[in-house]
Amino acid sequence: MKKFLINIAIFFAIVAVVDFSLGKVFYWLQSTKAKGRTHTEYYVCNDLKEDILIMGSSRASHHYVAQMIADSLGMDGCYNGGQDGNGIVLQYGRWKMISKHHLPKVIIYDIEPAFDLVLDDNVRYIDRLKPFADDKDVNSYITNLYKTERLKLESRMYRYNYKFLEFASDCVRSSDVNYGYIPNKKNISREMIKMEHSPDMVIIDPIDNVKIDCLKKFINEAGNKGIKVILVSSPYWKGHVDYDLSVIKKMAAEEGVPFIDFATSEIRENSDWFADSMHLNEEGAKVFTRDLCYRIKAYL
Amino acid sequence: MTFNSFIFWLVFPCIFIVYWALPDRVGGGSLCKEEIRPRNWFLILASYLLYANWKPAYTLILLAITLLTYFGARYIEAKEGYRKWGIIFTFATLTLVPLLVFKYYHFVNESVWSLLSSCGLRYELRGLNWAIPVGISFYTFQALGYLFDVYYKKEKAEKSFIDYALFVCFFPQIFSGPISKAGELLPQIKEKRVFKYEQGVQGLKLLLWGMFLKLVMADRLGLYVDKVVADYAMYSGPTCVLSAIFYSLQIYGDFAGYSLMAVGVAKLMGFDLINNFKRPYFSVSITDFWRRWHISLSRWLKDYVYIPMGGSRCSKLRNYWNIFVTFLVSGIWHGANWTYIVWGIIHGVAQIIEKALGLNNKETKGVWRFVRIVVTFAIVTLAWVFFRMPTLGDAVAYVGHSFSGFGIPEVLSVTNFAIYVMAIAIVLFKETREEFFPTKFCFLNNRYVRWAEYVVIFCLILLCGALDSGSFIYGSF
Repeated sequence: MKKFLINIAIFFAIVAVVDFSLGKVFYWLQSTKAKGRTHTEYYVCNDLKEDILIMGSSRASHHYVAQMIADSLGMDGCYNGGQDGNGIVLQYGRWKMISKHHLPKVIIYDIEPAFDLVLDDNVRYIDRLKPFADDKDVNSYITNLYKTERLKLESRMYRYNYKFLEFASDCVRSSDVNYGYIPNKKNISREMIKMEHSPDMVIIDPIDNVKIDCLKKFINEAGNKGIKVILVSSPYWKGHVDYDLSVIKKMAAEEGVPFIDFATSEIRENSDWFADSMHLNEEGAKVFTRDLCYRIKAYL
Repeated sequence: MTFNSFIFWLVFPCIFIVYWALPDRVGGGSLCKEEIRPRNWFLILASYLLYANWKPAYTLILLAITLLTYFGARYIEAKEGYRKWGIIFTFATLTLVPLLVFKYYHFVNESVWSLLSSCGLRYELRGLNWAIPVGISFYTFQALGYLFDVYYKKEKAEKSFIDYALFVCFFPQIFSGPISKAGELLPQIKEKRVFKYEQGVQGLKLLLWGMFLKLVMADRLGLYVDKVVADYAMYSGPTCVLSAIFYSLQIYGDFAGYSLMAVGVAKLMGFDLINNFKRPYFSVSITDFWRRWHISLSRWLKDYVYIPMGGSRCSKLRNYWNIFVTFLVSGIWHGANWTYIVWGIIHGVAQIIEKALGLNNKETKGVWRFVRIVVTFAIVTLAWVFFRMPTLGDAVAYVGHSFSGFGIPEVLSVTNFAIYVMAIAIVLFKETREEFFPTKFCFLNNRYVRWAEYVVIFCLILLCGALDSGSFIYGSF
């Protein structure tokens, strides 16, 4: 038994050395070498300088043309920090890092019910925060949500699980010239256009209180620092289901922030402006951004 | 609590330490005449607590099945004469009641409703909104196997209830097998256990490899498969074919990974369980496949369904019928859905055809062997489509869609795809070596190379594994 336990201890000692070394390499890749989304992520959390910040899911990253917004609103730059497959649980964690080094004048938060309202296991939304777990606030935010993460985060390899491949592949990408905005070049498929639209509005029930709590805290904290927060529900294609966003409307009214809903926008009618039922393509994004800037001016 | 959960890995070292710190037996001397086995008591306690961690109330079902089969076997042994058949039938049926109610009630209810409504009658029984107890098919079959062994006089009825309770609830195998036979496990429960270094090391190796199969190969491939299956009409035919192949590898990684972890954990506690898999995708026929895939279930079905029906010692037609029924039972065992039944039928029919053509036991070499491996893999993959899809209609549509169009399959995510390729290459190398070149690549046996392998595999699990991915496919059976 003694030999067995000693060998296990040696094994974990070797793993700990490898873990520490790889952690250093991955951090170096992430912070200095990577471009593309890895750079966007790191830049938003640590180096953001712009006056306007876009937050939300992939719909945010594909819909908001950062340069157009900055030009149209006459502010000192706009950066799009939307993240595929994520919502407020991730973005609130990022906000904790952003607020330490830079306070934008305006934050536009794109609401996506699937990531901001629907009750599900939020553990996947904290995944992209794990590489930033050396930040005390991020670490406590993660461990408050999931107690067992405290132990897991001791491993650097765990923090960079899967993401290290993205960092590596982002090292050979060209630099971002769109300030985080990702133009979607696709067009909606013919099969999707033929699909019948359900006239019923989807009521989200039950609602995830963790997400609502994060959203409220984010609005309050940003508001207390003098930042104008604007909630937006950007357009879906008309064939996509309609969500009942009364919860968001009510919350926006309670918190005193504007909520701009594109549920009845004419943009929804034109399939040429969509890449799929949820995402605008490049042309659609320009039309939407123009319309949005026009509406936002009323609140600034 | 499954082996891939973080909590298990916090709890298991404590179980391991306490278990080996306890004396194997106390008493039996002049002060205390009755001998007590603290380690067995502790294993029962740990097994029940781990099971209760999911739904505490369901431990009562586990206990009920244990009591029923324990006393049933003793009663069967005590009885002689023609009534014995009636007794085994009664106890076997009672043992199967929880499984039938929890697993098949909905299926029977819905099937009857569909049948009646097609005749214009609309009558539906109330639905049961209960979750299926984890591992119920496994421990029910294990207990039932023991009951049959006593009935056929292959085993003597166990006298010690504690030993028998541990046989049924032993935590490494309760959630997804392997299904042990009383003749294999009960003697190990009874004998004095001492920690053996080699057995412990072997256990850790199996654990590590099982984790790799599950977390790096199966769960990563599952991301691709889930995406395509959920919306298969939107993907090209070649993408659907690739997804079906990936599912074959996913379910192998998932189930073989779990089984290896179960065997590994058992070894660390001083037990040797049956190896459930033997490189099944190198099978040259479906008959061969079932000698290598889920070996403990195949053996159970052979011993308690196929052979009692007459096995192969009967007419050809009767033999074909026995094969068909055995695989029908296998399909039904897997789940209450027509898709599982069709899956079982495909395997049954394929074996009947092989037997009729004399391909079931034919030795082959060279290119012909390779061709047969590919054909067997294709049939197994086709059957897995039925296993994976939610309805028969979806399965048929998926197969039809897979044959539409040509081209290169979609990658979906380059980074994920890189992990699939890496994981499949590692598994393929290891299994090819074991299957075809067991005496080659001797440098891999060098101590330092082996240690390097372990560290690399462990690091790959941490770096590429789909951690916190949740349950095992077979955990729901």
